[in-house]
Amino acid sequence: MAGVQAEPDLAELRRQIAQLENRPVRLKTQGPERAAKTIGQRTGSGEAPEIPGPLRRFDPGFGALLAGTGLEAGLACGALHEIASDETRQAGAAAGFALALATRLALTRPGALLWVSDAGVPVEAGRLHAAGLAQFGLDPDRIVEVRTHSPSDTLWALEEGLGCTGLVGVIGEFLQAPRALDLTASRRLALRAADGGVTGFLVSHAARPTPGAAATRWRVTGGPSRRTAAPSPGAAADEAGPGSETEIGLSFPAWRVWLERNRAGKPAVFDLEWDCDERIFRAATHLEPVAAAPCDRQDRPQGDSGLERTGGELIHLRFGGRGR
Amino acid sequence: MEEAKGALRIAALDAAAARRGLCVGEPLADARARVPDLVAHDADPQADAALLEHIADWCDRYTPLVALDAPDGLLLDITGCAHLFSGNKSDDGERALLDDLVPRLRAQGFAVRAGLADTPGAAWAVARFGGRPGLQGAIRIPPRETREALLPLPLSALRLEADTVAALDRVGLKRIADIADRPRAPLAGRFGPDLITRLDQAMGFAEEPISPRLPVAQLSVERRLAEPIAREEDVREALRHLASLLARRLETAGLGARALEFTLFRVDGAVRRLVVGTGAPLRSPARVLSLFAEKLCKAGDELDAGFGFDLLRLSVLESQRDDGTQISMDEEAAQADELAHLIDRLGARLGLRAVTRFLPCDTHMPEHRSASVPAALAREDALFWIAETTGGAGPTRPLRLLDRAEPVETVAGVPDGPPLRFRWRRAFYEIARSEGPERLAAQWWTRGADAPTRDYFRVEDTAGRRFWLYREGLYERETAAPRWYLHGLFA
Repeated sequence: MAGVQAEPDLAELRRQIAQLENRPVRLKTQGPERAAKTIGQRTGSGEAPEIPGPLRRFDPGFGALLAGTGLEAGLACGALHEIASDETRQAGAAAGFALALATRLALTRPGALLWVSDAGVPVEAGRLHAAGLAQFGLDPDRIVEVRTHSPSDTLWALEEGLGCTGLVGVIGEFLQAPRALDLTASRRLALRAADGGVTGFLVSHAARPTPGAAATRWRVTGGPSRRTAAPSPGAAADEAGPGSETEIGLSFPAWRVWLERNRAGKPAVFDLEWDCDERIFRAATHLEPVAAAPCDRQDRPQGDSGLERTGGELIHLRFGGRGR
Repeated sequence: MEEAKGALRIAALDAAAARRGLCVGEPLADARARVPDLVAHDADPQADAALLEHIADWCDRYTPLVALDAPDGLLLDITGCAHLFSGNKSDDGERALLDDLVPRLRAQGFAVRAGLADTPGAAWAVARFGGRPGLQGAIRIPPRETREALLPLPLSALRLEADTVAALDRVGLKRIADIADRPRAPLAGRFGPDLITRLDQAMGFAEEPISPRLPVAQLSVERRLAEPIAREEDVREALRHLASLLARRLETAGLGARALEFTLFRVDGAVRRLVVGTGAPLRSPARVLSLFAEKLCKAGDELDAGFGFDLLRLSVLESQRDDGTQISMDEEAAQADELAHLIDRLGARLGLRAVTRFLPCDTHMPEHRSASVPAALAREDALFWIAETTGGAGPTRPLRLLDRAEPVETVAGVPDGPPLRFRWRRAFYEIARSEGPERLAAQWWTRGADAPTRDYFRVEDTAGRRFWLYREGLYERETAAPRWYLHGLFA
């Protein structure tokens, strides 16, 4: 009888030791009653017991920009987050934003990241480059790369990954949104993520918005990245405004990010820069201010009023412009 | 029939044809003259060989040591296996094995002659020349009676060249008894040493190892079923049972499996093999089961149970010392264990090569900077990457690298300057800012040292997309018209 009881005891002991050592606690899957709790929580029915431990959310570090979205404290762990780009040639930007979020997540706890590429992605958009990752701020040895031949294999691999407590995050990458990745598949992944406590990122290139069970959906395009040097000390004496700086080349990755769908609250749009050295996000001040209409995208809802009106869901009207 | 010595000749014939007096090697025209209703087919040695392989596969159920004896024979080394077939009765297992094997093969439609003896040579001889000619069935020479059984057989039963047999025949030596007790030196001198070797091998005076066609498993457990099973759940259940048996055996031996094979023998003789590899020594039945579950799922219809499987075997192809570790209270060790198992499962379904990690390589060529090694085979401590900081300049290496750099058309201000605009995949890009060049020359100390030098530029277009371009060849030193390529995408 003792043998049968061994497994739950072990998990409990690990949790106690982790608490004593003040380390993050990883929750083991505890069967269907746990899943039922999570679903109950999501729908808001009944009293939802607080899941202990600091694994509920991770802080991407741009909470200030997320004011009013309900995400100020961070993004949900054990949930799905979608990241989309408008076109395949923006694959670098979308993958970069996903990896930056994953890096923030990976800083908080040990564990590997599973990167699953659907068939066709490596040919169209290239494969991850380890030296680039190292400079980006993510240790390449934490990544396990998986290449699959069909969307069904990709979804299966993602599902397996989301249920594996040895991982900190799972990133699935698709070209366009495959037919297999429908609402059912997405819900399945979300439930698996909630069960296993692993955070999933779905990156789709050149994808139209599709219904899904993700907690958040982000649309990313590259933004100008410019490195400037302050003017020489002599010249700086009289005018030290930002306009006096001179541009000397490229710098950190920068993006314009639309938070299109947000289960926790309102959508948002802002500009971000990823500091590869410090591994933090910064508001990209040198880009055009967020409140102003993006000059190259007249067809997007503009400013705060446009976002307010939809009350939690940014209706995406831009279908004709893909592949422009 | 087959073509030999300028004529179509009979290569093989069935029992009915043999009764009509035809024989192998006879020209087809002669045979037709004697037997007008003869039905002839072309000989297909390749199909025959393939069929023989299939039968050999099936014979795996009796012993792991099965050797091909082309073109039409199989050698099974049943040392130590026979008693498994004797059942509860106290009679000897060898007879029981033959009684199992011969009817089963005959039921599959083969004409079988089996010989069982102390030596491969003697078994070969009695299978082909023992008993009445044309008789089908099994002949067993009891232990230590090899000599008596061999003496009356013709000399062809010694696996000799046809020329040697003919030469012996000319001097009146026709049976093994005629040469068995003769002085050996003159025989060897006249008919070649081969004669003596073959004689000794048949009699058991000389060793004759057989070379099995498949590697012999280090450990295996099997389950014979009186009633064949066909449903996937039943197969899983049987596998679960086998895995727990194997786990006990592995534990006793202090081993863990690195490669496992699950063999399913179908009633009608077809054999299915599923192989999985693991990243770390494995014993746990639940994990073995989950690895094969992926394989079974993937095999799906290919598995094709047909009328069912009647023998299932789980064998360890490769193993590694595994003395068992204490259950760790440390969460990181538990995580690493979970990850290893995930990698095994992914590898079982997608192939071990599809699940990779980045192994750093000591080179400056971007495409060779890291090698994708199968995650199951990578040692954790070999994956050592040094953290780099960019000093505010941003990454100099792209996040994504194209498998093959794609040619682009560019417009540059000066021949060796940065590009102003370029065209890639039928779209134009106007460059807003660029940085470079970063010159990467070919590695003169390796092959391919004469590859042109590359000047890399980081560029950003007006829409904020960042690319990694390079110009191949130094202007006016290596080439008159340098070409441009796009090699990667930045974040």
